[in-house]
Amino acid sequence: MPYQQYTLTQVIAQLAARYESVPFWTNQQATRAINLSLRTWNSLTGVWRGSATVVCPPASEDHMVPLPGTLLSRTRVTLESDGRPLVPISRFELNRIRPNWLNEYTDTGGDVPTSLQWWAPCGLYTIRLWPGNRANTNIVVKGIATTPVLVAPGDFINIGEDDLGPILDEALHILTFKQGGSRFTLTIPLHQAMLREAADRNQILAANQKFIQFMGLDRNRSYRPGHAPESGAVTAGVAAVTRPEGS
Amino acid sequence: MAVLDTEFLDDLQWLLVEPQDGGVTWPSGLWTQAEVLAAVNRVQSEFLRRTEITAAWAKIEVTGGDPIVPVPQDYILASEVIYGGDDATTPAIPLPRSDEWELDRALQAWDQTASTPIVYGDGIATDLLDLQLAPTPTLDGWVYLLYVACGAPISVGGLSMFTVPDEAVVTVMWGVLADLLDKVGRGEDLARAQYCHQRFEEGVLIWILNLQGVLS
Repeated sequence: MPYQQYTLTQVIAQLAARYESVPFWTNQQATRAINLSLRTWNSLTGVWRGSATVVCPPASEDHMVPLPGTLLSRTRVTLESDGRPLVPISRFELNRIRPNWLNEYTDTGGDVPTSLQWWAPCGLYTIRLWPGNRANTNIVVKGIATTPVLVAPGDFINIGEDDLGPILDEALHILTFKQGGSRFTLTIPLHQAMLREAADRNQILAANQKFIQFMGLDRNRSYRPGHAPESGAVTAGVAAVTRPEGS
Repeated sequence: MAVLDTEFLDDLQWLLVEPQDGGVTWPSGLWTQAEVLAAVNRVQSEFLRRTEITAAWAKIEVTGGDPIVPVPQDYILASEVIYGGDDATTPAIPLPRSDEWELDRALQAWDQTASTPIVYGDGIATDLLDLQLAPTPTLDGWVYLLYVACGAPISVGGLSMFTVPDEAVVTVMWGVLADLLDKVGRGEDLARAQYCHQRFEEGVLIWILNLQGVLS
């Protein structure tokens, strides 16, 4: 089943189902762990998308446009009037191609276009437009939406079943943190499994050597003589966590 | 940007098995409120500096003959420095970063002559909140500075919001936990501190990769 709506109550029930004994957390703590896990998942995969219309004031003295708080990041910018996409460009490229961009506006004339052409990201929440805007213009920014926050039992998220598994793994791992010791250590593979699931969905992560180490897939370590093989670590971790108290 | 400092401190208390009261009391005596707040502010600044996730900008007037450019009080790191003359016909010039070692070899007498600046340095001027242009500008002008600003300090019960995005607050949380569990004393837990430190590094990497995902 690709995508479903899960209410907070359902997510907490599924979290409890991952732990065989009496849960060692309250519903409030489970809610917090689930929200932390959702945010981590969204930062890894950008699973929730959104768009927003941004009004660019004509009298702006600079080329910077702050993005609305509903967006976490930006991937595409278009003009609202005709839907024309603006070309993404890096700050480095803009500085080299149009070194005098700071003095260039849509009413400058000469070889400077009379409408917005390029956008350059500056951090997560700001973009730079070229040429600077001097007319009433709205742009539509599409990107990654901020993570939904579950508070009330009826609050819900739209997500696929296959995405919910890693999110619950991470939540369970966070919940064991306060216990510390071997119980916490044995859930670390749950976090690594989540990273591997995220890398399946985000190839930028999968291509990064450091991230591969964080995923627990650094093969150099397992090739080292005397080092325990990593295969089966996830299963072992779950088994240890789900073992009832006193057994 | 919607996470309140009290919520964050509440989460810290929960994970450190302290009573949850928005960070007001830490009855175990392992940490004080002041050191927890200091750790949060330090880690948030480190996260901002390393990821350059937020952007602030300022246009600063430059006086001819004076190479020093005072930067805003919340300045952490320069992302981009552009020099322009007051004369509208003078094109603005993006300045690369440099230092005295390079300048002494590539542009001798750079600090004794005046001309149009071609580089800036953030380690040349003696004041930490000053940038220096080289060579010294001849005419009045301005510097457009795109920089990383430090986050608003959090406080107990202040109901202020984090500067970093909500999704990155998790990373800051791991960094703070690493700091607190690394403290020499009864609360020291090196194994978990090391793990938290790794989670912080992991978060920093994820955000750097996120920023590079489109363009940076």
